[in-house]
Amino acid sequence: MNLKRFISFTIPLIVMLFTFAMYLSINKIVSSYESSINNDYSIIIVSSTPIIKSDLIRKSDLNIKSITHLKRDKILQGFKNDVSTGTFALLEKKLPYFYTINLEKFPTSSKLKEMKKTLENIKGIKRIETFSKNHDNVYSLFLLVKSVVFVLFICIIIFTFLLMLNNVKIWFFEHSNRLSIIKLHGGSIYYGAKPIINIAILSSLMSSIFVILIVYFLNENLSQFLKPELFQIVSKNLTDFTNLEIASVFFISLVISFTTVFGILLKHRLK
Amino acid sequence: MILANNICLGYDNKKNIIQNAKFKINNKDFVFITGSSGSGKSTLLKSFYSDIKLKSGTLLVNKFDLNNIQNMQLKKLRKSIGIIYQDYKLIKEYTVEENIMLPLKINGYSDKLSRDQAHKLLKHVKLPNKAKCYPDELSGGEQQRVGVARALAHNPQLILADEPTGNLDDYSADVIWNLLKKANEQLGIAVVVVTHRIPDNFGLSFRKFSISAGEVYES
Repeated sequence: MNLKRFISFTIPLIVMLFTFAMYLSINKIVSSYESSINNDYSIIIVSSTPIIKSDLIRKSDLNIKSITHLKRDKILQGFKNDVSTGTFALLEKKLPYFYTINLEKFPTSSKLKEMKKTLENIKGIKRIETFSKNHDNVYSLFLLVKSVVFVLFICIIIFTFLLMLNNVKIWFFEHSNRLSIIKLHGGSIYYGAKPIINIAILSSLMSSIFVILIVYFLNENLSQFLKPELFQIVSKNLTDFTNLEIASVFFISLVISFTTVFGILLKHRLK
Repeated sequence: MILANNICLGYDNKKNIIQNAKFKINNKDFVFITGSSGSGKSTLLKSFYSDIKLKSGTLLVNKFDLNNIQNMQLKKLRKSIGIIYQDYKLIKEYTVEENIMLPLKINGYSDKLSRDQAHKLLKHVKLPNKAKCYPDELSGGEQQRVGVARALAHNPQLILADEPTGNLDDYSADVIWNLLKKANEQLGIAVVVVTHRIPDNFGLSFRKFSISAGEVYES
C-alpha cells in the first residue's frame, strides 16, 4: 500500500472527524448547560383567579414542568402593621394570585413570545413576566456557539470531500495505464480499483480510531486544557462518547471515503 | 471462432478504414494480417476484442456478437481471449509473476493456482528466474515473452497479437514466433497476428489476410 496516498487520505479524514467530535461535544455541553439554566429560569404570572396546572396546560399547550403558587400570606404579612384592619381586609380580598412557571425545556426567543401571547389570552391572567431581555442574551449566545460550530463542521466536510475527491482523481490518473490493461483483459473497474478501495477502508477505520482515542485522551486530561470555570461546565460525562456517537464517527468516515472513491469509479465506469 | 460479415470500421465520421470485410477464421487457424502502415491492420485486430466499435456489418468472435455488445458480455469476451501487444502493455507496478497471474485472477482463479500456472509458463517462455522482477528490469524481448505467457495463462481459445515482434531483435523475434507456433500446434489455440512481415521459413501452415485500400482479402 502506498503510504503517501494513505496519509493523504487519512489526514483530511482526521481533521473532519475531529471537528465532528467537537461538534457533538459542544452540542452536548450546550444542551446540558441549557437544561441547567432552565432550572433557574421561570416565568411569573399574575392572575385574578387561581390557576390549576392541568387547566393551564390544556388551554395553552405549553411544556410546563411545574407551577408554584407564591404564598400570598408572606406578601400580606409585610403590610399587616402598616395599614388599617379594613384596608388590610380589602387588600387581602383584592390581591391577585402569583405563580412561577418552570418549563420542560429552555425556550427559544420566538417560542417565548408565542407563549406570552398564549398566556395573555387566558381569562384571569393579568400580567406575565418572562424576563425576556436576560433570556434573549443567553439564548443568542447559545445559538451563536452552536451555529459557528455547525458551519465550521459543514465547511470542513466540504473541504475534506473536495480534498479526497482530488486524491482519488490523482490516483486514477496515476493508475490509468494499469486500469486500461485490466480492462483489456476483461477485468472490472472495481477489480482495478481494489487498492484505492482498500486505502479508503483502512484510512476510514484508522482515522476514526485515532479521533476517538484523541477525544478520550482530552476527556481524561480536560483539567489541563480548560480554565477551572469552563471545566465546571464541561463536566467529564459530557465529553464521553456513547456507542451511537462512536458508530456515527465510523459511519461518517466510511461514507465520505466511499462516496469519493465510488463517485469517481462510477464516472470511469460510465466512460 | 471469428466470423465477419461486411464489416466497416473507422473513427468518428471520417472515411472507413476497413470497408465491407468478409471472412471467417476457424479454430486452430494461424492467421497473419498484413498490409502497409496505416492500412488498418491494428484497427481490424482491435475490432476483434471490441476496442473499436463496428460502423456496420456483423462480427462474431468466440460466439459473442460484437454489434452493440453489453459491458458484461464484453468482459466475458475479453476473458476468453489472449492479447499480445507491440508495446507489451505489462503493468509496471506488478512483478513478472503478477503480470502473468492477471488474467487468471480476473477469471477468478485462486492465488495458489494462478501462481503455479505463472511459474509453469515462465519456464515455458524460458524466464524461470524472473518471476520477482519488475518489467523495467527486463529487456524488450523478455518483456514480450512475459506478454506471451500472460496471453497463454488462462488457456484462451484465441490469441490476438498486434505486431508482437515489431520492437524486437531477430533472436527475440524468433523466440516469440516459436512460442506462438507451439501454442497453435500443441494447444490448438487459434492465433491471429498483425505483422508487417511474415517470417521466412515459418514452418507451419498459415492463412494470410492482406489489407489494401480498406479491403481485406485472403491470399
